[in-house]
Amino acid sequence: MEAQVLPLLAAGRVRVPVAATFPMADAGAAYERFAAGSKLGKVVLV
Amino acid sequence: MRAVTIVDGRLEWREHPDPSPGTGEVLVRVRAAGLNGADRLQVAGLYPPPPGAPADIPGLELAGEVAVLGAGVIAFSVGDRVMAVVAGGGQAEMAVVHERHLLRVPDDVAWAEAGGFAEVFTTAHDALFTQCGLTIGERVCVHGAAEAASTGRRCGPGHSKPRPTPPGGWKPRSFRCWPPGA
Repeated sequence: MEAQVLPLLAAGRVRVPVAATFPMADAGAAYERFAAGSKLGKVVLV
Repeated sequence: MRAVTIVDGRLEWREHPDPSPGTGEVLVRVRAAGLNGADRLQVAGLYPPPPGAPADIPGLELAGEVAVLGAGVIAFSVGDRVMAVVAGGGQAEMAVVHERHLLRVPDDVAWAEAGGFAEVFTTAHDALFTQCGLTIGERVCVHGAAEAASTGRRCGPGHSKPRPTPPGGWKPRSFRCWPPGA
């Protein structure tokens, strides 16, 4: 991971698609969004 | 600290004691934590976390800043931007992670992206290179190519054919699934 993947992330050649972010205190809404499907990428608490 | 907390199958934002890093561990001030399928199972009572992980705080990946160093930590300093797969407890303001499990977050990568990186890309890397022993340039078949972990797998070879050929032998097919959702 460190040798092969992190350099790609650092160079912007690999990206993490983020479908939605939610405040951590609003995790219930985030889990609902996660369960609803039809998303592309990660649901992330911030 | 406060943490996402499983209470009778529901999620609440509750106060917990601050975790304390042991030997070789660091305390991470969590800035982002991605959701994964196992989190839902844990909320439903169907995923008991491994021994040592908090039973009532979900979260298998996180990104944040090193806040406190445990004894004997050699590779990281306070303030370092890090991310990791964890056994549980990632969806909290703070989490303890062993330094062996930490990856550095590149400077230009936003917290939200870093918080959703570790689980997906570790799973994909493990599947492709550790479990299957593939090397660069080999062809792979990715099932569920629009699913999150496949985002990582697609960063390997772009074309695919079945490997190994499944019983009954379907014809090798080529496809591309990039960018995500294509």
